Amino acid sequence: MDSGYPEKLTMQMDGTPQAESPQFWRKPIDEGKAPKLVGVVLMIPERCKGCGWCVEFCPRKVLVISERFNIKGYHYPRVAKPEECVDCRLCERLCPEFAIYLKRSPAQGGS
Amino acid sequence: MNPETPKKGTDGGDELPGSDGHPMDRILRMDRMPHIWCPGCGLGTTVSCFALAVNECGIDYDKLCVVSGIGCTGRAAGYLRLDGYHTTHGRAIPFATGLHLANPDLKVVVISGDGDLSAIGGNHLIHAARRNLNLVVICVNNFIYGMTGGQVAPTTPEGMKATTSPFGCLEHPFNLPYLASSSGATLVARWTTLDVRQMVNTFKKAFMKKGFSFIEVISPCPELYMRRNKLGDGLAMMKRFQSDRLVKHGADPKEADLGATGKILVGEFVNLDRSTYADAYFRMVSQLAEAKSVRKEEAKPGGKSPAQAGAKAPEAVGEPKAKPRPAEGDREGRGPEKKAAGTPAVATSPP
Ligand SMILES: Cc1ncc(C[n+]2csc(CCOP(=O)(O)OP(=O)(O)O)c2C)c(N)n1
Ligand code: SF4
Ligand code: SF4
Ligand code: SF4
Repeated sequence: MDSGYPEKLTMQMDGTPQAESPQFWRKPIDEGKAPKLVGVVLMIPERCKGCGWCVEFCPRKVLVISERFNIKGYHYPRVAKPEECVDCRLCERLCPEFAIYLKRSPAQGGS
Repeated sequence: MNPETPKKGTDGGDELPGSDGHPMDRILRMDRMPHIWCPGCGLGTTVSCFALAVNECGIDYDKLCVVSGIGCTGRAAGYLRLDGYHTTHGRAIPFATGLHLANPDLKVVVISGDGDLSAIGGNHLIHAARRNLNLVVICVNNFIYGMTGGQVAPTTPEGMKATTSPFGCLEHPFNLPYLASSSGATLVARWTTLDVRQMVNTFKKAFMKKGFSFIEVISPCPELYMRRNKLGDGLAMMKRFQSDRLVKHGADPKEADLGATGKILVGEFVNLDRSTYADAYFRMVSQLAEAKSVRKEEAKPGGKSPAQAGAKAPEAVGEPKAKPRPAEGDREGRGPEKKAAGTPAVATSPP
């Protein structure tokens, strides 16, 4: 059937860059010139239900599951490597509990 | 942000001074949180992507309506700080149809489950697609009836267990994108709850689309579907999405069959343009009004020529007393009001 697209496009998943799949990485042409974004991860721990998605899919492995638990009894994530966060906001979109969000680093004009 | 010095009982990720709360809180009814969805359920992610898409495309909150049916997914309308309606089971699309046709400049979005939209509401889905109503339908497919305790759904893959199929489902599941596209939907896409970026983009596209948009979101149901089938937790399903999905824009939806294992074809499969039901309806209304006014002008003593009368159509149809049938006169009486307000007769442009 006619899909309305000019041609078929086939590609492997690219939305979540993974360390295990280096074949999808290439050197950015503006590396060194473009500023590296830095994000500040903010948590609302009481909301977390400990699904672990943010920890698992963060491309920079910024988050780890904390030893502590919240009022509901779930282990919520902890920011283990704050300097690694590139403000990609994947964790913010993935979190089903609206428990994690991002601010651009103040040095880069964030509030 | 030193993880060694937690503040306010958090480990290195507390609200910073100047922070104004979660950006999604604006569009969610936070007084109803926490939501009912289980840990590891993908419904929160779907709503989060929806909220983000609404915020990013800058659509007026007052021009957007969310309609849900019954089910875990059906709770979505109640959690969004938008005008919404929680209809009876399966009837989200009929309600949305009326809402849309009575208010053609509203964008009406249906967010509901696979059972709600393809089982009890299956007929409404195919006919809404056939009519090309200007609706966005977001169907969250978790392969099961969640809210009622895990009965088999028309999307349960063959061989998978449910309370009503304890030895495995015997039926072949619906391929929902194929069903929607063959019924006439003009935008058909499928994403998993891991494809958050793509989902937001498709939602934005659908808000701007004129025509019937159908977006299937494959979501884990760890409590009922996965536990009964010993598939692990929500994270396990997300990992399956990561390894098994194949992005193929423009693929033939016929190929998008879903099994319990194997590839999950995702992408924007169909994107075409076709005249909508509202277009045709308002075109007909204005044509009928015009024809009627021509007849009236001719009947008047010393009446104008049909061409002149035609140009005066808006004023001429506004004489309700002369109408033989009040209901019809009533309906037509709206014509001149619309025109007077500067709205074209085909008043279907979405925001
Ligand atoms: C007319 C009617 N029949 C049956 C029900 C019971 N019922 C409530 S929710 C539901 C199924 C919901 O399944 P689905 O649409 O897949 O949503 P999910 O809970 O999986 O998100 C059923 C059968 C009902 N509420 N009303
Ligand atoms: S914004 Fe991206 S890099 Fe930063 S914590 Fe979230 S997922 Fe990781
Ligand atoms: S994604 Fe959200 S709910 Fe899940 S572990 Fe992370 S913060 Fe908690
Ligand atoms: S029963 Fe399934 S679909 Fe319903 S909230 Fe729980 S995990 Fe989600």
